[in-house]
Amino acid sequence: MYKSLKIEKFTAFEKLEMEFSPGINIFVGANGTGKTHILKLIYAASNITRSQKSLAEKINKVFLPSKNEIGRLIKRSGSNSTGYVECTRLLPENETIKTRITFSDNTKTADKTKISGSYKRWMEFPIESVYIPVKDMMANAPGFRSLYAQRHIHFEEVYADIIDSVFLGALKGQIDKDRSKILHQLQDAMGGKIISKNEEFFLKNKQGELEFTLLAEGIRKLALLWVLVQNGSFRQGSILCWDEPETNLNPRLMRTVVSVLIELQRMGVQIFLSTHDYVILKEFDLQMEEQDKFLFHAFAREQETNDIAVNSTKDYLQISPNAIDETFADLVSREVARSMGNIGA
Amino acid sequence: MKLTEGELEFDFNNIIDGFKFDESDKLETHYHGLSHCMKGVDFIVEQAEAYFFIEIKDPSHSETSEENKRKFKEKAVTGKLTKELVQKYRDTFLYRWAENKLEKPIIYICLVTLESPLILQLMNELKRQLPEGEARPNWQHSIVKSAVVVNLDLWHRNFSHWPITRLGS
Repeated sequence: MYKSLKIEKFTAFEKLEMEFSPGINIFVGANGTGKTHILKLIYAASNITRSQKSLAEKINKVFLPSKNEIGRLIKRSGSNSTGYVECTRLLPENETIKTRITFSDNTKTADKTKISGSYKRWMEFPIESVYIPVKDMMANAPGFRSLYAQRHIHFEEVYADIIDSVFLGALKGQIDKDRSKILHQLQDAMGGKIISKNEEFFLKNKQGELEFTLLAEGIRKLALLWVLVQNGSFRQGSILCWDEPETNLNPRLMRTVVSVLIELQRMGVQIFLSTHDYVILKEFDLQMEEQDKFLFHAFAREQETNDIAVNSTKDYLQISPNAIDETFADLVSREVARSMGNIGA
Repeated sequence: MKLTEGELEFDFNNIIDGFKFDESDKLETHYHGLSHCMKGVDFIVEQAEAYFFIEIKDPSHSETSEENKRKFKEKAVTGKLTKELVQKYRDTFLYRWAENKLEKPIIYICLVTLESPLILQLMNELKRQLPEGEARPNWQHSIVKSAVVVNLDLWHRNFSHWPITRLGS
């Protein structure tokens, strides 16, 4: 489980410190405030514990700096600068470990970065992690994996990884009660189960088998969750990073998605997601119960310095600044002005 | 001119007249006197080019219990609040017709202290139900020229010349 993150001079961030909830962490903020970057960092730091790749390599693969020059990820400031990313994890029996990667804007290759902290211990405790990118990949799965493995194609690695996660074999043994409950919930919303044949997915129901390419994108999202729950990608201690779950999702299906995420959290999955969507935020606000663990994190640029800062709160109304609410306020305000015409001006 | 409703004090600048429309004090000039059969908005404000009917719903009042806040939200999302806002407007409109005080266009402002996305939903619903503007091709007049719903933040953005203060805060 992640406890906190500390960053200096990395991508859009000058200096940042964040504490996470062991449950659901919801990132809100305007475009360009670095929400996705945090998701990718957490994912990279988790994924290496399974793949045993170096952290720098993985960061390169998910961020794709030009010519693989990791130094390009240092915040551009005109002069030579050095930055770092430091993740803090809580291991079983309350042992806290950190790992830090440091490099400068002159660092050309991944092997020239410096790793400090308890990196060895970090790699000894594997974390199951899944990163769900904005665009659906399941419909494009056939052939993509082999293409990605054989050729240099310019795709952030999160897109290849999600397909790998989807094709993980099922866990041995019976599906437990919690997971079975979630699977049923998703089946009700999708109207069927998911099956795969030769890297191709189908939605199977009474009418027959439907190709994924024929399914609405929103249903594909539920299908992706279904497959990941079914194959055991999510268990106690797993990490889920999800960039904008609302993309292509009918607002009605949002309720199901949020309810599934809350259930996963109750199973002990730590969740990080970014959103621009009022319905999602509100669904969390409404569905979360006393026992549930969550934090809203509001990303915004500070007026004076233009640096990105994060405000974390448990209370929906205290999210500040709330870019989503602000958008609605702006709409209403313009509508009031138009409706009134010149009167009262 | 200052008018107060609950905890909220309105400072109406540059107006011809402004008064509490649902006045229950018999000694006041604008005593309503028909509350047994007609509802009324909270304030009427007269400006050179329009009358403003102003209705205030303040679930964010410091003494509102959590239970009542929840009930109010329920009322807002189920459409009951819109019905109430429409009835208050129509009854006030009739009352003013009887007084022969409808010679200027009317703007209806509902101040509802809820979050902005809910305000947008309420405003759309209110405009549909009043209805706003010249709703039929053969209408020669509109019942209401413009109907808007705002919260405190939106009030201050759009009516900054009429500041509101929450008393006791």
